Amino acid sequence: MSQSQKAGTRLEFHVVTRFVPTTFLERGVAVPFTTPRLAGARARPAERRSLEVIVPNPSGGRGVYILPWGNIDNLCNPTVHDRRVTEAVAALPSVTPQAIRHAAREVAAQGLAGRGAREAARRARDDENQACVQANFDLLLELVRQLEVPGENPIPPEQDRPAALEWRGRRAVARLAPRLRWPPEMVVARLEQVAACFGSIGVGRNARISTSIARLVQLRREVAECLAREPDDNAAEIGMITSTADLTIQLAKATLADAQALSGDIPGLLQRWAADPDAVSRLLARPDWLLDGWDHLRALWELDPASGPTIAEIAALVPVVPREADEWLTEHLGRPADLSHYRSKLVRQLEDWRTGVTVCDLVARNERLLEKTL
Amino acid sequence: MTGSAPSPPLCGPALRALQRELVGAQDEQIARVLAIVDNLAVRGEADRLIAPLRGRLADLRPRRRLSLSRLLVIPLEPLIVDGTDWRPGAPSIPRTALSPLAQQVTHELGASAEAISTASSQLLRNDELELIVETGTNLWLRAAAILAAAPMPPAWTATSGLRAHDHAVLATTMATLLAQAPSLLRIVVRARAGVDPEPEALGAILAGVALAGSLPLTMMIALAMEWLPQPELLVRVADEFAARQDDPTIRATADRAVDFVLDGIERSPLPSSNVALATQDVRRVAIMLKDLDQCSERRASRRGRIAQIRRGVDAACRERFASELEAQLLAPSTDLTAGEDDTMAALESTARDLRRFETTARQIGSAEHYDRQLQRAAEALRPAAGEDAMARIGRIRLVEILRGSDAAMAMLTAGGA
Repeated sequence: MSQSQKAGTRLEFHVVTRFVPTTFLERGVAVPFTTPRLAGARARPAERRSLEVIVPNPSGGRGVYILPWGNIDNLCNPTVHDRRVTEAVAALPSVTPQAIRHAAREVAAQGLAGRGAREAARRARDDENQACVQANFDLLLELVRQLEVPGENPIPPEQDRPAALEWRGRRAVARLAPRLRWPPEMVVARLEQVAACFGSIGVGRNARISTSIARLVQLRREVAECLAREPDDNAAEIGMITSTADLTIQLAKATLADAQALSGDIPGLLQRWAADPDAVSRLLARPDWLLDGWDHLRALWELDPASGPTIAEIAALVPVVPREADEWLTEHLGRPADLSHYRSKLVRQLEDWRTGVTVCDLVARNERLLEKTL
Repeated sequence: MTGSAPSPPLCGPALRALQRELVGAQDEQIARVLAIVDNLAVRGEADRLIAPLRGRLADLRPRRRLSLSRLLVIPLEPLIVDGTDWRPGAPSIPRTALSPLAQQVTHELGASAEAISTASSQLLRNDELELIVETGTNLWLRAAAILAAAPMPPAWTATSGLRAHDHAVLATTMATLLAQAPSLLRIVVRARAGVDPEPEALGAILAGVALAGSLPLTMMIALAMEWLPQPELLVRVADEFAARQDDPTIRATADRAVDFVLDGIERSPLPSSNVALATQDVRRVAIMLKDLDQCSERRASRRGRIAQIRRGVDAACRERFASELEAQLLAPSTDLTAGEDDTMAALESTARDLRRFETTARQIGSAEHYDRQLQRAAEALRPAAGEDAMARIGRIRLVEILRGSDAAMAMLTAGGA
C-alpha cells in the first residue's frame, strides 16, 4: 500500500502493479465515466458493503490504483455527470454490469453528458423494455411448443392468429401449473420475471449479447487487419488485443449458448428460478460479465479506427479474463496478459496548450463514446 | 473550344463589380468559383478576382485540389505577401510574381508538366504534408534549376506589376529556396511527428543557401521559423551560423529574419476570423514568442521587441476573447428555452472553442483577465428561476465547459437538483 497527500486530505489507495483478478467481481464492472482521468475505471464491492474504484495508473505507469469509492474526487475533479454516476452507483444494492448500465442510463437521461447521450439513454431504455417484452412472448411460444402434444396443433404457435395463440398460451400455462403445484397466475408472473433476464440473451433469436459478440468479432478482425497491413506497427498491442478478444469471444459464445439452452426446458427453468432466482440470474448474466468493457473499446475504435493511439488505448483497457471463467467452462486459461506494459504507452497530457487538446475536448470525446455504449 | 475571340482582360470596374458579387456570395458558391479558378491553366486575372476573398478562404479551408502552380509555391507560402505590401529587398515574395514565374516553370518543364499536373491534382491542399513533399520534391528541384537560369518573360512587368530587375532577384531567390525545400520540409514532417531536428541538418540547409547571398538566407531562416512547429533550435542554429560569418550582411540575416516574422505577428496577430482558427493563430504566435524569447538570452533589443509584441498580442487576444464570448456564446444563450439539440450542440462547441482559445492565450499573458471573463460568463449563464429542465441542464453544461465541474455543480445544487 502506498499513500498520497492531496489538498490536505489523506488519500489512501493501493497501487497494484500487476492486476490479475481471479473473479469477475474482483475485476469490477466498467463504469462509463466521462472524466478523462477516470477512463477505464471499474467499480467493485469492498468490505462492509462499501465500494472501491479501480483506476488505471493515472500517471500512465504500471498497474492500477484501487481506492475507496468515496475518494474518487480526491484523485481528480470529476465532471458533473460523473459525480451523479458516482452517487447512483454507490446507492446500488449490488454491482453488476446490468445494474451499472441502468444507473448510467438514468444519469445520462438527465442530459448531464449532453443531449446526444440523453437520447441514447432513452433509446437504450426503450430497446431494453422492448427486448424484455419480446423475450416474454418468445418464452410463451416456447412453452406452448413444449407443452403441446406432438401433432396437437398443425400450426406452429408463431404463425397462429393472435387470439388463437393467446388461447394456446393459456392452455399451456394451465397444463404446467398443476405439474409445478403453482396457481396459473404464478406461472405467468415467474415467466415474466425470467423474461426480464432473457431480454439481452434472446429466446430463439439474437438479442443484445449476440450483437455485442458480433461487434467484438468485428473489432478483432479489423484490429488484426491493421497488423496485416502494417506488420511493424503496434504488433505487441494488437497481439494482446486479438488474443484476449479471441478468448472472450469463445467464452461469451459458450456462455450465451448455455444461457439460451435454458429456454429449451421451460418447466425446468421455472422450477430452478423458483428455487434460486439468483443462481439463474447469475448464469444468464455470465456473457454480460465477460463482455463488460468491450463495447467501450469498440466505440473507441469506431471514433478513430486503425490509428496507433487508439490501438494503444484499447490495449491498455482490454478487460482481463479472470480465472473464474475456468469454473464456468472448464476451459484452461494461459497466463493472463500483463496490461501494465501496454498502459505505460498511454501517458497523455490531459491539457496541453501546444497541441490544443483541453480537458473539455477529452470530456466531449468521452461523451460521444458514452452515446455509443449506453 | 468555342472558336470565339478571347475575352478582353478583366480589369477596372468590371473586375471590381465581379469582386463585389463574390464577396457577397455563399460559401458553396465560392467553393465552386474556386474550383474553376484552380483548374485554369493560366490564372492571372482569376487570381485578381479572388484576391478579396483570401481572408475568407483561410477560414473556409475549402478542400482545394492542387494545381502545378499551387504545389510549386507551397514551400514558400509563409513568405508570400500581397503585391502592394511587397518592397524590393524585403525577405518576402509578392503574390503577383507567382503566376508568371509558375508559367515559366510550366513552359520549361515541357511534356513532363502534364504528368506533374496530374500528380498534383491528386492532392488536396489539406493533405498530410508528407504526401505533399513526396509528390512535390521532383517539381521543386526541377523548378529550382529552371528559375536559376530563367530569362525575364516579355510580359513580366505587365502581368506582375513589378520592375524588370525584380524578376532576376525573385527568380534566383525562389530557385535557391526551392532547391532546399525538400530537405526543410522533410525535417518539418518529422518535427511535427515529435522528432526533434538535428542542428547539423538545419545548419547544412543554411550553409547551402548562404552561398546565394544574404537575402535568400534571411528568407530561408524566416521560412524555416514559420514551418517548424517549434523554432527555438532553428533560431539558435541561425544565430550561431550568422555569428560565424565574415560578411556583415550575412551576419545580420538571423536578426532580419526574426524581425520579418515579428513584423508579421505585429501586423496581424490573429488573422483568422473564426475563433477555432484564431486559436491556432494564438498557439503559433505563443510558441513563436516563447521560443524566440528562450533563445535570445543575450539579445536585449530582440527581447525588448518580443516583449512589446507580446503585449500587443495579449491585448488583441483579450479583446478578441471578450467579443467572441459575448457575440458567439452569451448573446445566443439568452433564450435557451426553445433550444434545439443542434443549437445546444453548437453552443457547446463554441464554448469549447473559447476554452481552447483562452487556454492558449493565457500562455501569452493576462491569466487573471481570462479567469474574470470566464467567471462573468458563468454568472451570465446561471439558470433562471422557472427555466425548463433541459434549458437549465444546457446552461449547467456550458458553465462546466467554461469554468469546470465545481462551478457547475454549485449551480446545479443551488437550483435544487
